[in-house]
Amino acid sequence: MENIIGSQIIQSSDDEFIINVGPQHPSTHGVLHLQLKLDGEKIVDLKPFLGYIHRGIEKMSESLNYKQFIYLTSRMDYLSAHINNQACCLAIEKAIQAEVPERARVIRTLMAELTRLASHQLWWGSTGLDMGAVSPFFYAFREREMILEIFEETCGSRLTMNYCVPGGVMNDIHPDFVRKVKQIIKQFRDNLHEYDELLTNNPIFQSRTIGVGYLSREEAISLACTGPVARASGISCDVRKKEPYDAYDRVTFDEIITTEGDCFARYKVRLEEMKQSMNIIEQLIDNIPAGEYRTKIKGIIKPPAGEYYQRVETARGELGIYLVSDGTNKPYRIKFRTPNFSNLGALKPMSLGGKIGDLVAIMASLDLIIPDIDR
Amino acid sequence: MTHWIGEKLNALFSPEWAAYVGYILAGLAIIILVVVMAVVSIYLERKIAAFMQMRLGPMRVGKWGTLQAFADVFKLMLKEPLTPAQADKQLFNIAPYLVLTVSFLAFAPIAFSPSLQLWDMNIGVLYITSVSSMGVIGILMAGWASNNKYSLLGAMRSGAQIVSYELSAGIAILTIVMMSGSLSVSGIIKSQADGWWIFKGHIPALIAFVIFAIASTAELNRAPFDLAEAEQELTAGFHTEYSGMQFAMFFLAEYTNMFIVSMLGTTLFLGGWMPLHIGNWDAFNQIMDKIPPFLWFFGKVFISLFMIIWFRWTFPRLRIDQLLKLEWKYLLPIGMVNLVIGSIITWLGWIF
Amino acid sequence: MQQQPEAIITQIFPDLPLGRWAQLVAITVKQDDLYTVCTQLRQHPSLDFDMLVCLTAVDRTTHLEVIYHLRSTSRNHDLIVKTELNEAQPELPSMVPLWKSAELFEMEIYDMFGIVFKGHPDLRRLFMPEDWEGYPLRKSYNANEVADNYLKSHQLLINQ
Repeated sequence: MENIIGSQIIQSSDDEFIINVGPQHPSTHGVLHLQLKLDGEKIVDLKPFLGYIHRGIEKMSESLNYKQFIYLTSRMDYLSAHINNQACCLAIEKAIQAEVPERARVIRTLMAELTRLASHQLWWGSTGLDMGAVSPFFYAFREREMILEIFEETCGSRLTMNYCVPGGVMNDIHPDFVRKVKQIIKQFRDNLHEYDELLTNNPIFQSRTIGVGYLSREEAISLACTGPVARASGISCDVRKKEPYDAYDRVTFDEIITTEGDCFARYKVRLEEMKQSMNIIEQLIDNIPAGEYRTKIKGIIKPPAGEYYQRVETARGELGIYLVSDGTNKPYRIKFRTPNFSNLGALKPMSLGGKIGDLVAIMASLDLIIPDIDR
Repeated sequence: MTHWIGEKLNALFSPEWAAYVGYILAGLAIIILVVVMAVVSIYLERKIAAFMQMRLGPMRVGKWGTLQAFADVFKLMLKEPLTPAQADKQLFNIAPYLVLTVSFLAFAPIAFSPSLQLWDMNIGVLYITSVSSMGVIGILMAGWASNNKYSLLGAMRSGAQIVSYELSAGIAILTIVMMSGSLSVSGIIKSQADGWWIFKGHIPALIAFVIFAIASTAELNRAPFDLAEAEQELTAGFHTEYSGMQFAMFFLAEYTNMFIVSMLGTTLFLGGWMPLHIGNWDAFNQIMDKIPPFLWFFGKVFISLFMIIWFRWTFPRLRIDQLLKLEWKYLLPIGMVNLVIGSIITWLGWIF
Repeated sequence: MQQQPEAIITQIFPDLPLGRWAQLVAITVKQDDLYTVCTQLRQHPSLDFDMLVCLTAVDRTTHLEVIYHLRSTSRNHDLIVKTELNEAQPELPSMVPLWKSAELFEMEIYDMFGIVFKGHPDLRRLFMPEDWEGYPLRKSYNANEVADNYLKSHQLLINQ
């Protein structure tokens, strides 16, 4: 086998200019190292270099038992931590064919939608920050703080809540949960017009995002983009609609699809998704079924030998868990098909021919979380 | 008050020496004024930004954080001044001082009140615009001498931006100069004795005011035109490699320029130290006259300053090509047409 | 809801063994036929698998198993394509001409398992440093040993 090592970008003429963006940089959302070849202000070539936060989660999971590896996934896409945990628990429950009580399903769905809301709020704030408008960041965090407080009261931790267990949730919700969530929804709906006034209707913001970073439908499918990135290019791919899990089969919500495929379309899709999340929460919050919050799973979890697959919709796209079991208490092989990994592939086709200012806008609209790519 | 100082000096020294010492004292007074105003405006900016973002800003250093600026300057003085290894040492060290000196120079013709003006030359406004346009040399020097791709890119962008927007600012200033018929600062202010130009000159002056506001925000390299120092794009642009006192010089120069621009705008459009008179309301006018002129002046300056700070914390940033397109395709043509219309209106006597 | 493409697959590929991988339909293909089968899957009008959702590999100690998870967005069905590789000569044709998402997936598999994809535009280690030895996700990989050797060779160990 010959030694094949990929190389850095080569400078081919004197007018070209090679620049490293990152890994430490205020606007790459994580440690992403990009090499750009510039011709003046225009981007001619782009190469991502990864691995700065590669922790070997897949390899580590092979030495932990089934209850332990779930909490490594919180650290992958830490803004949808609960949804990642939910995916693992669903996969394990499918493997051992455990019954999950209705109450647990609804609680998990509620927490997942709150997580999605919090993640999109942070995305909105950091989009404003990347574009140069500093103030929206604080407005986004005002609402996000309230959601994080609920998380802290329910599961003890604000960001990486280890709340899901195979069989249900770890603890019941506290008595004030319903009232506080309703309060948050009401306050957020009242404040949502500020989001539009600050960024959406601002001509400077629009001129920086409309027509920038176009991703066609065919390209998005070929790159296996999922989530808001794909939905803004016209692909219907919401896992909550295609393969409903937990309590998503009993709520009605719209799947937001636009066809423009530019940064502004992705922005609008995520804003609308926030509203849909609030609708889902409102439908579920008053009707949490009574009953057990957890099915106790006796003994050590040892799924029968074979393969299991589960996919969920995180805030950024489709997370797929491929679980290969050999009958022991440790997984034989786990593969996490993370949404950001494929969305990263869309960065190059969207930014070639544009300017560095456009690159910042495109990265903000792709909403990449690098630990999710590197695992 | 200046007479009192003049008499004291004449008593102490011979006439020529008295003049020289007088000049030195006046220069010192300006320097102290500039430093005080820069410190005040740094504090103001942080507090205003904080209140717009629903937080409190500096609160610990001094009562309500008033000594924060001093603490920052003190810290910057103690920092190690680094010079990058391959940098062009002379240019690298001169650049911050050039930018700062240029800002100080522009204070000479500004009239703070009828009796407080350092040098009432007959080309005051021309002097201010020409001296402040030398600042771009300092910026380009800083970017080039840093031996850093990012700084160079930032400096080039900044240079292009400043040179372009000077045209529009100049044309807006020309509109008022033409209406008032004088280039000297005191002449322009005297011509506003019966009303500020922004009211007297109605439409042309209003358009010129808007163009001046946009162009001077771009000249200052402030948001929404702060691409040259945008943290998110190219770390800190042309002053990436500076630290310690040299960085403080750039910082100080930016706030001083903010003041110059506000003062110029106040002088040209808002009447300088002239109080607000409304038509024939004599009682009102007499009350307005009681407020001392320098309070009027500084009040107007601080209102303009507030507007500039407000812009920064509200708007996102423009991309470099959108910025230049705004200037060359929109502001400059509108400015020139406005100038022509203004001159026709003035000639026909249709101003108030 | 997801459809199952069993009927069409058995019609177009009558010789390939059909099975299940998790709850998805799976076909097992030999290493040499892989590219032709995948081209057919991509281009045949009634199959139209236009998205490569995931490309992964499992080290089954005796052999390496590479798994392609394909999806058709127009017909709404999923398919798994499995290949088995010998550990001594793990080589496969690159799928980048068919699906662009294969570019990053194949780089990752090269990094983690050592499978070389012929025809890939830029095959390099994605996560590990470029001069790393060994392929981390193989079962024969000893993490402590490789890490110690790497640090020693780069003189990075604290107590040498």
